[in-house]
Amino acid sequence: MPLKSQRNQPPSMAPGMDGALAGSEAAELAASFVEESLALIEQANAALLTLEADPDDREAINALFRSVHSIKGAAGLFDLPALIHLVHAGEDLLGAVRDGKLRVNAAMVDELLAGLDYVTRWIGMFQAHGALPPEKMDIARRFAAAYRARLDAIAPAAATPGAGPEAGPEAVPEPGVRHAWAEAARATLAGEGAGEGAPDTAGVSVEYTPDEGCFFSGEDPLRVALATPGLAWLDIAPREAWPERARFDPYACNLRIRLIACADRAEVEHHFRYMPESVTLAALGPAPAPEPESAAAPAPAIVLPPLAVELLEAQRRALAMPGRQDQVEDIAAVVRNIAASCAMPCPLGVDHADAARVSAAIAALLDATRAASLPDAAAAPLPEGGPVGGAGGASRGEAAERTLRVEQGKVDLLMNLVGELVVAKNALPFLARDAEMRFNSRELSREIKDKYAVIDRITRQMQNAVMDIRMMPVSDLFKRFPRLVRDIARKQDKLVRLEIEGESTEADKNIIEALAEPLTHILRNSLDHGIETPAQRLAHGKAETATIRLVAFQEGDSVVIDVIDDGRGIDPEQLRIKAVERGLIDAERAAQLADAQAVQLVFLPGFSTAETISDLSGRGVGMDAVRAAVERFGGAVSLESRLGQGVTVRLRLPLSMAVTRVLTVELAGQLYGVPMDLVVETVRLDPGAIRRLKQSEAVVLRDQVIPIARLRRLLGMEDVATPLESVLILRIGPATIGLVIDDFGTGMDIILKPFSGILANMSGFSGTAVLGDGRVLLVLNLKEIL
Amino acid sequence: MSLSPHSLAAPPAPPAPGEAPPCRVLIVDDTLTVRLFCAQLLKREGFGVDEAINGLEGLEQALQHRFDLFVVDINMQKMDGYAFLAQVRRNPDLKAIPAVMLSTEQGTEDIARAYQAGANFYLTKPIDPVRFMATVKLMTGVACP
Repeated sequence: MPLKSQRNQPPSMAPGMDGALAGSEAAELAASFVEESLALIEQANAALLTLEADPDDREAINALFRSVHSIKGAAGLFDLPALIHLVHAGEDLLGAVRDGKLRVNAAMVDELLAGLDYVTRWIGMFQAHGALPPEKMDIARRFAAAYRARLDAIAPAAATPGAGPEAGPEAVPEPGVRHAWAEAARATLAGEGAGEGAPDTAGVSVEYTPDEGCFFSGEDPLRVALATPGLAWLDIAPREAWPERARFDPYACNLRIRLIACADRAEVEHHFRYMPESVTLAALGPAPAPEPESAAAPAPAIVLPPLAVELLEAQRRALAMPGRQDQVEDIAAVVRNIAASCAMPCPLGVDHADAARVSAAIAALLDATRAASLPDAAAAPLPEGGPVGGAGGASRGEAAERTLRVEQGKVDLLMNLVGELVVAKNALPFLARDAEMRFNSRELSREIKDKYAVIDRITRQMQNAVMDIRMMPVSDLFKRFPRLVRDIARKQDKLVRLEIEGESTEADKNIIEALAEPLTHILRNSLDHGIETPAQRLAHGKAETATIRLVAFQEGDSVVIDVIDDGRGIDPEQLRIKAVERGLIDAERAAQLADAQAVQLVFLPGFSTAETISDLSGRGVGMDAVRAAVERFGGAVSLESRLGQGVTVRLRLPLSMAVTRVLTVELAGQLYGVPMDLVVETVRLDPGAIRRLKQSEAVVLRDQVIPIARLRRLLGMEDVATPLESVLILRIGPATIGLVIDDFGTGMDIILKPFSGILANMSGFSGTAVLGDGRVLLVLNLKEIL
Repeated sequence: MSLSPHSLAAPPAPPAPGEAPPCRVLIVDDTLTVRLFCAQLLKREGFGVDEAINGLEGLEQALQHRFDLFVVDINMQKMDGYAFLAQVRRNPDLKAIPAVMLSTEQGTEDIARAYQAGANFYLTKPIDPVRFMATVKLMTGVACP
């Protein structure tokens, strides 16, 4: 019965999975695999770095092994032999580490990280194209060979069979090989007159000698053989005479399988690709003179045992385990269920079960099921198992986290709706005013205000709750940096320790994501330009190992992230020279700059301080890019340098960006919004308090000289005289400034809508918002205006 | 002496729409993809499926509902598969429920340990869907074609 190959299903599933799942299920599974594996790789990366720092960290070793192990387990569901090959080799290596046979060192971590990088890339490709690049197997083999070389180094003698590094997973038999027995078999086939089955066209003969320990590695030789595409003839025989009963090991495979398949060679090769070491393939040529050999094969000796036999034998095995004879209910249940499932009368009653009766029942069922006799497994010596695994269980005290995975779009929608609600509720105070002014009902007005207070409270809570869903700890972002710092430091032969603090600080997901690039850039800058080589550091009397601290904390409505290094700092004098050289500033102004101000020159577009631009911290993209990225999200960046002692870069970003709180201000009868987080205080001043200094104005407020700007002038309007000047004291970056306006309005939550279309290029405004009464509020971009 | 009535002979009829599933399987595995895969296979054949991400959570669920089969991974945080099975076999309400151990571990010792801990069968990952479903059916007494 020539079997047809079934490899016309979606190629992404592993062989044997064909048709097991519907397309949509397979897609769901693949998506889950991608997401989960990437997370596992991240864990593995982190654990590797921990392990490099402390090779004895058991927790890290276990976490690492578990991650890699899980990736392998999940990957097996898909047709990704190269990926599995690589991960498997990695797992073997890590297994040796876990068992204390090997110690982690930097070079090994390099290799493992590089391997993980490939796996990451491949998973990306699998996600995008459903396939891996053509050179995948070469890469996988290279890594596997490297990993195994490390293993072989510790146990050169104990090369395990089946783990030969050279034998790639794809069987590449020599083209000329012929199996002598094949022709004889072919003659038999023809002789049987089974015309349709006879391979009179091209065929492949396969000699398959499963590894002795194959039952333990999930290999099922009979199943594999039977599932060979185009299987036409099969012969199974022991490769050595069966040993006497007492010495018989039922768990060692002693089979030699020969088969002939009428199928494409490539197809057959593909079928056996997971066991290349145990298989030889040969073409079945147009019959040369048959050389009748001793292998006038004994007729197929074994009728294949169904899974039921296997299961029953497993029950027998379980029953023989020390300590299990007293509790046999589960075994009895399985035996009964197997009988029921196969519609066989069960020799085991419902009422009572003890070990002896269960054992007898298994034997009876086996005798009935089994067609041909396998050597009896009952008397086989049972391997000693370890103690029952009860102890190591509940290890870490962390509470079980119940989580719900939600598509981000859904949360965003909810967030937007709550945002709309926040704005809609703003209509109520207007309504209250109308009630009082227009309809003269103070009572109604008060009632509306009361209700407003309630709705306001609830919406606020709702808003907080939704924002909370979107909150992510910065650790999700920070966890990528140890690897980055390590890699760069190693490349530059610098010694750097990255310390992370406050990683549980939370911020909106979008903010966290927006921070990734600027932070990467700052760290690279610091490693490239800030951190000295160990020799330089020693010469300056500093510790050989530099420290970069990455500190996150929440401050008011902002999340603050500091990157603090103890490198050489920034030389303000050099900055002045560079800035002048590049024509960014004239020499006179440069000389006037205080050191602290001169350091800020790095934020000027197109400024690069390194003598040589390294391949790491970009070309032509400097701190100005960082500043632009941070400000795009309403944040600010500042830099402080201590020459010879290091640099602190501080990023300050809003915790959330969906709803913005603004202070409305009035100007020529129009309302404008000013972001509340810039406003330090509001004051009304006597016009005389504002002093003129040449072209500029300033006011002394609590012993501080604050420069004054007038919004009317900034927006090109005429000044008006007022008995009292309304001044907003603003903090913009490091500067404090007073802004004169016509009058203050109220604080208000708005959803800021950025300009689109033609207006998108309009400077001076960051966007618009619709007020509760339908009016449009223009929100000022004061950083630009001032 | 308590026997699970569920595990007794009567093979459940093929699932009718709207009816409670004839058999309920608890999957205890920390790998989402594996749980999803098993669940997909089981559900399409009308099995009821519950999932747990480690032994501890599995035990919690096992005590809350009646299951006909446990499918258990070995390597999990908090409580591994061995420990889970040891607990199950010690518990008068759970001890008669069959269990399949599911793992990529391939050593003789792992398998022996699984059987000793209370497994009734051992399947290696990657899971072969045909073999997996046939095993589940045989172990739960569902008619196997």
